[in-house]
Amino acid sequence: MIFVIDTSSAMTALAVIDESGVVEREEVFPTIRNLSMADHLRSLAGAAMPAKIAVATGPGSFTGLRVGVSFGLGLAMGLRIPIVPLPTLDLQAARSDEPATAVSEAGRGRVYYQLPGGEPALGEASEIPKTYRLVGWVAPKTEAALEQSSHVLRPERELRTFGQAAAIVLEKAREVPYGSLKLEYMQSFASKSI
Amino acid sequence: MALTLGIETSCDETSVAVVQDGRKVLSNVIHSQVDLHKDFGGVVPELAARDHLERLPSLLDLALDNANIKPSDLDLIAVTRGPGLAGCLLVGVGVGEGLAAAWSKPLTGVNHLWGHTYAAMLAQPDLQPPLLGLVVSGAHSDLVRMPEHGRFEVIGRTRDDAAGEAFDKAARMLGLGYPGGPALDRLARTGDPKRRPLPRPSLEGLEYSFSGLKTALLYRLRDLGGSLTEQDRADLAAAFEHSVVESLLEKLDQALTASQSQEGVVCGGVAANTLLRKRSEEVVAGRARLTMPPLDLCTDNAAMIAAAGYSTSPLAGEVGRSPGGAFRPAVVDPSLSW
Ligand SMILES: [Zn+2]
Repeated sequence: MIFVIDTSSAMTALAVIDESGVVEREEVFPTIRNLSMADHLRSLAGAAMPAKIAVATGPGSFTGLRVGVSFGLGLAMGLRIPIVPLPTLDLQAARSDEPATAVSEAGRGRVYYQLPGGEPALGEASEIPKTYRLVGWVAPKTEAALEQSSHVLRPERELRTFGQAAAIVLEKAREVPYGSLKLEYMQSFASKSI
Repeated sequence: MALTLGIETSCDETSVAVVQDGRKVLSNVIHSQVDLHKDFGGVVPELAARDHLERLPSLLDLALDNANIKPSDLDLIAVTRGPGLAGCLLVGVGVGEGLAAAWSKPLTGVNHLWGHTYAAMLAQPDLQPPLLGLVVSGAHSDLVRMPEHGRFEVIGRTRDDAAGEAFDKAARMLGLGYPGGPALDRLARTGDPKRRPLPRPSLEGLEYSFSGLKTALLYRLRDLGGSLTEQDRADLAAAFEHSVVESLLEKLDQALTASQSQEGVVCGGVAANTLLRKRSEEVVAGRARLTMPPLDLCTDNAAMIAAAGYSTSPLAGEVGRSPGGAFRPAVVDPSLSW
């Protein structure tokens, strides 16, 4: 079984996928504090043992991202099983059956976004090109800002489930050494003037 | 015999350790991020968090190897839960939770400040509470009383800067590199604190304040302007250090008198300062036994977290009673949440 953990956006998503890509179970719920990742994953997985851990590595919310990625890393290291990073925006893009711009919450009114075939970018709602409809999980406030800028978020019912999308992204994803798991922030750190 | 794995990621040191019975360090591997943050003149939280994540895997392997144990030999995992940089703490806690789930081991959260105090227990095998501690670091200048294991009372603290922070800022004003504390210590050794004295801050009760002293140094440097010589810089470094150290010890002295404690502990990153170590001996001598951890246990490290976790954990009763088997319920300290 492959355990998939995504805490990088406004929703926390967990999935248990078998080796052939069939989604056994999945759970998506609004990201909350005081969440026991182990309890959630355990109740979702039942008696299943993971052979591989996949984690969404962002870009996304600083706090959430770290919670899922570090838990997944600890679990993989502890069980001596592979860890596979999954780019957050690729996961969202894979939920759409037509070309769409993937988005995720960046906080402070900003959004991470990625056009089909493009690279992740960071900007305000108004800066995102309107070529495609959007797919992704953002905070209600951000969703309102996107709609204000006349963006169209594809409704959940038209999209693949998180688990189905994860299975698609997993086909091309590769495991990395434990120490090479990188969080994607896309923020630059200007040298502080003294 | 109980073995505790400690994890520390609260600031810019990544560390993993194995400690036996809360007293004996079997391994304590530390990676300092000083080089990563040097160009910024201070710790950049986002870079620090990312680095913790990348360093922890190899440090974990090394800590287990050096201790010559297997994960199954462990009884408890202890991780720093705070205070510290929020994003950095999340990485340690998250990895700790993942390991606890994978190995079915109880996981406990440790207050970083307690950790510094427990570093003294690793240095002095028969040290027991009640004790009085001065915890001095880049983030703390706290006088703490530990009446028994797991009970801490902060009886004095700083109103503004922590002592280590004051040293860093003074070092910056004096044009020394980052990190400033050790550089200021070295420069002060060649100076005379009496030649260009600075005021010694003194507040009522057991409170500290170092911002006035910092301003005094700034004005002194401004007055000297272009005529500032190398010797002036060394003298001012020595004067600054003298004022901070004497201020710290004045309150420790008061607290010792009031508490009649037989055990005194001076710990934390600033306890690596040469003058503070020397003067602590002189001030505490004859009043109480003084324990100062060796230098590698003064700065942030996971051995002290393991020691504190072992001695203070609400899960102490669970030690040795973990259910066994992989990915089974591990007992997690309920205070460990994000
Ligand atoms: Zn510290």
